[in-house]
Amino acid sequence: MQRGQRDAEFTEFYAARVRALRRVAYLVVRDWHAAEDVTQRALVKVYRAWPRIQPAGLEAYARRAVVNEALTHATRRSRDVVVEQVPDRPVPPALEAGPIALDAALAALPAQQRAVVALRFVDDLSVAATAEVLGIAEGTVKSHTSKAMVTLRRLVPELSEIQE
Amino acid sequence: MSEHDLSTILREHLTDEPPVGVTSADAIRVGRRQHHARVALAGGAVAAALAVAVAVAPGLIDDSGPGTAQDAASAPPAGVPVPGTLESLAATKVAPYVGALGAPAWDVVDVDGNPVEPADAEAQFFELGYEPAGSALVQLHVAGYAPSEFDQYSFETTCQDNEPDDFSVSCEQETLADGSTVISSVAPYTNVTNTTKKLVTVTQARKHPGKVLWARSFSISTRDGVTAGVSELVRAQSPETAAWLIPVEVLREIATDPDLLDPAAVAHAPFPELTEE
Repeated sequence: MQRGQRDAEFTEFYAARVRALRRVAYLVVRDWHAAEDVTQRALVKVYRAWPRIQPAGLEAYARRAVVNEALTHATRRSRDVVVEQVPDRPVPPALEAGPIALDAALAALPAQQRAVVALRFVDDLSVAATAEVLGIAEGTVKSHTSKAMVTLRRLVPELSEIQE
Repeated sequence: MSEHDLSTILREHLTDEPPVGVTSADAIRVGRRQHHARVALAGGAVAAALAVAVAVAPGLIDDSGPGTAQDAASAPPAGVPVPGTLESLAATKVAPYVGALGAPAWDVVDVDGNPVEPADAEAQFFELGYEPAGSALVQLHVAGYAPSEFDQYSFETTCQDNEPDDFSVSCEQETLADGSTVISSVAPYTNVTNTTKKLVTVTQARKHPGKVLWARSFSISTRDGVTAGVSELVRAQSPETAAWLIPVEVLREIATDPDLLDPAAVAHAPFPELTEE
């Protein structure tokens, strides 16, 4: 593959997918600036791997790269947090004060649950496709989904008011 | 709240996203830069790769041939870990095949490509070159990088990446049991001095037979953030007629020598984020 062709194809893919991929990253890292960094790092990897990626697997490859970068970022950031007092429960103090915004509720979910929520409900992936992107079992995806829904309903009462 | 409801709420939540502040051109620039840095780490010439962006463009072929040995007086003092190890390996493993090695030429730089003393804590790239009587040039190198950037500087995909870029006539990659990645390759270079060389495409090299040197190289990148390698460069009309003297197995023995891969012997500063190709 010639470099010009590779660049043209990548540019087209980038333009079509960067916003959607950044939204997935945002739900995991919860910061637009970090989400953009994460997405760009992942897309650099996609560019470098471009000649090796089969067109049919391009979407999955890019999505996996973004989610992996986002999870790595979220994990590192959580390790970087230093507090004077260790809380009794792994829940941000704000959550104990009562109803909170969706953003804060998402922050209370473990990073991998956020990734499942992002892939399933923002990127519209099936359980099987989500499992493949994250490299986990389909049952684990279902379990993460269920736990995330329970947590979100508990922390954001307005969500529970929406009935099927 | 159903799953559909959650999907709707999340999408509404994301409607106030800021505009994208980066471009595909940024990604392409960084991707190429990382690729060239890794190629440089695989084949040596890391100092040149960092001091000036590795240029792989038409019109670079020149007829200067091998340069003269750098000032031998600048050679680092014996006994310093990396220089001592490299010179010892050259004497015991290379000399039996190429004859008298001649004076060593050294190039030791920090992550920005600035010359430093071998014993300096900032010394990150060590290049050693010889112009032995029986062969054109032999280059050995050891370099450090941040271990956290292993994915970036692993050689796991170097051969696959090089293929579309036409940088080698042969390239074989292998992952060792400890996670290190190794490659052996044959590639053309120009603007060669004792410690530097510039990669050119095979197509360019074949258009200018005799104006390039063909290198047979073996390199390793370890999980500890160390790359090391050795190349034998010879003048030839084509890689098919190149008469290398050092067996590939010996090149491998040199590059994978445990004494050479001591992570404590080299600096591991992260590569600067370069935006210019």
